[in-house]
Amino acid sequence: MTVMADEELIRRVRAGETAAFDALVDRYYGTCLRFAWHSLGQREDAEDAVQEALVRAYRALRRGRTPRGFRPWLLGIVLNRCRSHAQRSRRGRLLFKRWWEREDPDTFPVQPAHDADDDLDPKLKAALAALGPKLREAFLLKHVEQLRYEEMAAITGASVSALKMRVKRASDQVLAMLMEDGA
Amino acid sequence: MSTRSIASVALAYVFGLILGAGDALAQDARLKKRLDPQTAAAVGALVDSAGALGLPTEPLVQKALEGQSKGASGEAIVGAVRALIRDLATARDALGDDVDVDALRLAAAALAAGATPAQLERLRPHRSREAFAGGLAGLVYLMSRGVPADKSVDLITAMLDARLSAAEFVSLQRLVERDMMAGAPAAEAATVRAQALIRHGRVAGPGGGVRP
Amino acid sequence: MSELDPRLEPWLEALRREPVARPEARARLHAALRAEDVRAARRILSPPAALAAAIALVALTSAFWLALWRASTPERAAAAKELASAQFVLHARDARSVSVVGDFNDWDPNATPLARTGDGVWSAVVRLRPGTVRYAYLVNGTEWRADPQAVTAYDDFGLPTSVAYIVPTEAR
Repeated sequence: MTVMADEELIRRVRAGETAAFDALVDRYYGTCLRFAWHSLGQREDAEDAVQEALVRAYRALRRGRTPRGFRPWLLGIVLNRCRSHAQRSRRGRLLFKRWWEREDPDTFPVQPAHDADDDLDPKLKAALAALGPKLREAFLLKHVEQLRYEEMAAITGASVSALKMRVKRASDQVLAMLMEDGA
Repeated sequence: MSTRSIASVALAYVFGLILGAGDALAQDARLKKRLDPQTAAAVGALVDSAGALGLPTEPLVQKALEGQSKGASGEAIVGAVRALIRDLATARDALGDDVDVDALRLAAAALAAGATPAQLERLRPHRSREAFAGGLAGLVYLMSRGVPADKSVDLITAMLDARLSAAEFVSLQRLVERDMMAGAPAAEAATVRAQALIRHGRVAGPGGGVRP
Repeated sequence: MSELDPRLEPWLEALRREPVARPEARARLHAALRAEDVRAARRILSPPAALAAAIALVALTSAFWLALWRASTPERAAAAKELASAQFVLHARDARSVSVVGDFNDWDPNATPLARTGDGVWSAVVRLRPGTVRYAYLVNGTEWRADPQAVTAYDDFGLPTSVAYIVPTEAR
């Protein structure tokens, strides 16, 4: 059995082989989920975003799209889905929280369920969450997904220099938060 | 595009806007007409806030009118409207922003019947299904008959997975009622009937076959 | 040039661990991809270009825009659905009057009286918008009763109420 390169699999997806896309999913689902989960902070939301992204990627490939680097391109789609998700849910929850606490501080609705299988250090989670979305995106793409700055620029729409600055700022901020009570 | 069709588009748009603004005024009028001024003001404020948060407002107005019709005190009415707002918001948190008002109302009813947000969240992946509201109606039904929430969610999820239609969820209700009248315990009857509907759905294929 | 502070390394190691996919999530993805295949197949069968252009033109008329506007909120989209006929039935042999009171008539006790048939059976047929409806029966103008054939709901006012779901006509 030979392992097929991404380009070969993409060619087969375009030719109508659905199993070829399944192979790409097997290869990249973990990456997508990792990025989405760290971006959004919630597993369920991340799974939703990844699913939407993969369906869109599938559609695009079937229509003839041929991305030069599949992994960065795919992460770009996941990133867009995450941005869309974050916008939708954050606005609703924050607004409601503020209003409800003014109305009756004792009856705030139950928080979303705790992620039982999320074993990430809570300090690390908090540090990530405290980064603004743009800083967090840049930090994850560079240091977790380990993309090149040119690839990051292509998918975020920001310039290489802006991204370098965001990554530096994010790293400093995360480090400062993690070092707070001595790591 | 011709001048006439541009004009008709513009007219329709303006007409639509007026209708939309009219909705808000009409709601106010109903509250003012039926409730005492103090209660009407309090409920009106709650409805406005809820609307600003993107929650459906008609169910809230109806809750106030229900209270008035049943002779409830102003305090009870305001309390009921607040409780409904809380349940609708919790339901939306659990199920997502893109769920329609019928599904949201049923989800709120499920919460009021004792379901937890975590249990509702198990249904979230199915929210784009056409039969989703029907599924939630099935959930509310099963819980009202005493089937434990977890079990109810299990059955409804399985039926949604099997792509059953809203009408089939209604059938479930009818069949389980019949079984219960013959003496069967609710949970057992529900399990048997749900499995049968799922099997029948597989044999007949999507959208096909005779409905029980 | 961003140099990575080595103190971040152990944390990054944790972040770089790929999470294990849940089988349910993978199954849902699989279903979504297969649904996409079905959708793609349908597109191939859609009308030829000329007819499609004509359809697009017709869609620019006011009816289309009104429908689009109406569908723009979930509540408006619900209102646009076709009305369904629902029959309300109550067995109340000793009643002098019965009405059904609910969301669809703004909880007006006088809006929808039921008619008595010979046997102590009261009924009325009402055109309703499909969807969730809450209601109760009012007997003799004073006694509230839930519908024994529907789900009994928690009503906040200590009185019986029913909730039903009217299936949209297309889905039957």
